[in-house]
Amino acid sequence: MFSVFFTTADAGIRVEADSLEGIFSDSAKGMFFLMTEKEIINFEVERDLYVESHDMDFLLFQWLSELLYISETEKIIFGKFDILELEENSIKAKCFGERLSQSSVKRLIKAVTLHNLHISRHNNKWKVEIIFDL
Amino acid sequence: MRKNLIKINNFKWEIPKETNPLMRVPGIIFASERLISETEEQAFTQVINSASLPGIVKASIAMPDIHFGYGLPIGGVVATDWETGVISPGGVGFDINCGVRLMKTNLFLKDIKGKEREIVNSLYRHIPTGVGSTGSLILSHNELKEVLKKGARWAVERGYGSPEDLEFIESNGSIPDANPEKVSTKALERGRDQLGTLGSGNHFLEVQFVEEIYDEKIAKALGLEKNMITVMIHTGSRGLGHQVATDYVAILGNAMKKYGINVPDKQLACAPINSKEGRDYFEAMSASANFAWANRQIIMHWAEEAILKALGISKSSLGMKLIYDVAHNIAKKEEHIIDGKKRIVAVHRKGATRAFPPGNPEIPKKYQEIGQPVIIPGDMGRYSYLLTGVKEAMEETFGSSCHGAGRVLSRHQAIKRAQGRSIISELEKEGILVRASDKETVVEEMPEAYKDVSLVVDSIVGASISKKIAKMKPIVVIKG
Repeated sequence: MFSVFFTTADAGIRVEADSLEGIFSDSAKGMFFLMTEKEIINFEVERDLYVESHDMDFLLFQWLSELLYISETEKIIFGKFDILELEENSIKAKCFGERLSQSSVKRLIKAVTLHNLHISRHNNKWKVEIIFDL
Repeated sequence: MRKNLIKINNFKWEIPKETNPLMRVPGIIFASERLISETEEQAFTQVINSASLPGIVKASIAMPDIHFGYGLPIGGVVATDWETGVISPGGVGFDINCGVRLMKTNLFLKDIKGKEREIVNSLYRHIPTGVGSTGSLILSHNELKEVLKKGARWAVERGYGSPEDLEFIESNGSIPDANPEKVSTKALERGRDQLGTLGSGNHFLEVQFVEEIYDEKIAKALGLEKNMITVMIHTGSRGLGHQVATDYVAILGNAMKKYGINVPDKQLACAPINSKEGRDYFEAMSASANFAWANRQIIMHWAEEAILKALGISKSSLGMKLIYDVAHNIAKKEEHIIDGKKRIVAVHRKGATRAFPPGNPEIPKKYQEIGQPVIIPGDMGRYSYLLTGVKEAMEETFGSSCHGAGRVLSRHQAIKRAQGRSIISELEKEGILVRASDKETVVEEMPEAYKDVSLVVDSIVGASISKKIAKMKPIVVIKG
């Protein structure tokens, strides 16, 4: 589950999930929603992704940054993520999405920021807030 | 945090070093009481966080257009000692060398009257704009590395503009420390089809006229007259720079433990300048800055072609000449006098513009007596300003000035405010023609989404950080 919020200059998402896998999957969904303002339901393209980092917060930052990179260079928007493996320092996933047409992107996300990005757990719920540079 | 502010004078505020144990230096903000009262609380926290960077000298400084960013606030200036200090991608921002260039022409308002529509359409056809915009230049990785090494010179060598343009670009449009080998394949991949593109968001190209001149002598030296047509370009290093920043936030974030560095905000990830990671970032950031200068050089050339075509006049009649090009998201190696001693520092300017005074060897010969031009874009409905650098800025802000208006409404608030209105028609009634690839961008970027830039400029002038020279009003705008 995610919700979008706007700061004066940029925008972000608040993500809540029952598992860490849900945090990674819903953060990615939230990022592409912010970009396209639509739910991506057409899964004609599939990409395998493996990302490593030195801790969980940076891993989330790098996971989203990697998806942004693929989106920009291969012109794909993703909407479904099967998290196959998630460790403290790495994530392996299958990502599904559709070919991007210029009109389907409402808002350019320049980059994922680390500002206030901290994955936390309260009463069996995982939470994180991510701000994007627009 | 606001409660910790001490008023030094009408345009200068201090956050004392004792406010937070992490602070190594005080925070200094240059702004009027009104702008201070309109600044978000988090922006002050970011001034404090930035004051914790190892090797920071003198103060964590913010300009009147301060607002909440990530890492440093937007409008932040931090200098760190070149030998003992750190460098931080969060002190530069993701859009490395986002910046502005201003050109003058031989034309006056009366010369383009009734031809505005042709001009806007021609500019829109010639210059790729919008989300994910790609250009007609598709470069191999090897060619792209040449751009990263040479910057604007690469563009001039290929016929975009003329060699004399280079003198009128900060750092002559090419930082020699640039090392393309420190730029990742991913960044090259993102940049290979984006050279000569404007992008989206707050980036723009405007045809303007000089509405007001405040300093006749300096305006004359710059070749500016009232009602003269000028052209302004605001863009940066596009996806290439965003990727370099992303790559190095992760690399430096990982390296901090090794160097025993702790920062209060992960976005301030940093490494000693004198370390492999720090040097690599500086060289990659400089290469991205060069890409941005080549980008603005190419767009300037296409803007000239577009205007020539729209008006059907000769190049000499148009007489487009570059006044200056400044970066406002960058870290530079500079020499400054601190406590009476010359020191080499890394000046991080994030949403801040270099503003060197008369006599500084870094600025063009032609401007030695007047100081460096400082270009301050406003919003697309009101005006932009041209300032020049003064010696006080060297003492107060490491030779830095403000960079623009700064948003006052979030994009969401702007969309709400614009419901039931046509911003494009409203601007047209004001005599401003806008073309954009996406109407939503125009709404998100509407004039009232921004602070009145004159408030920012008045604070800068009030604080004696720059001199006000001229005000330009937009006539034609293209946006992403």
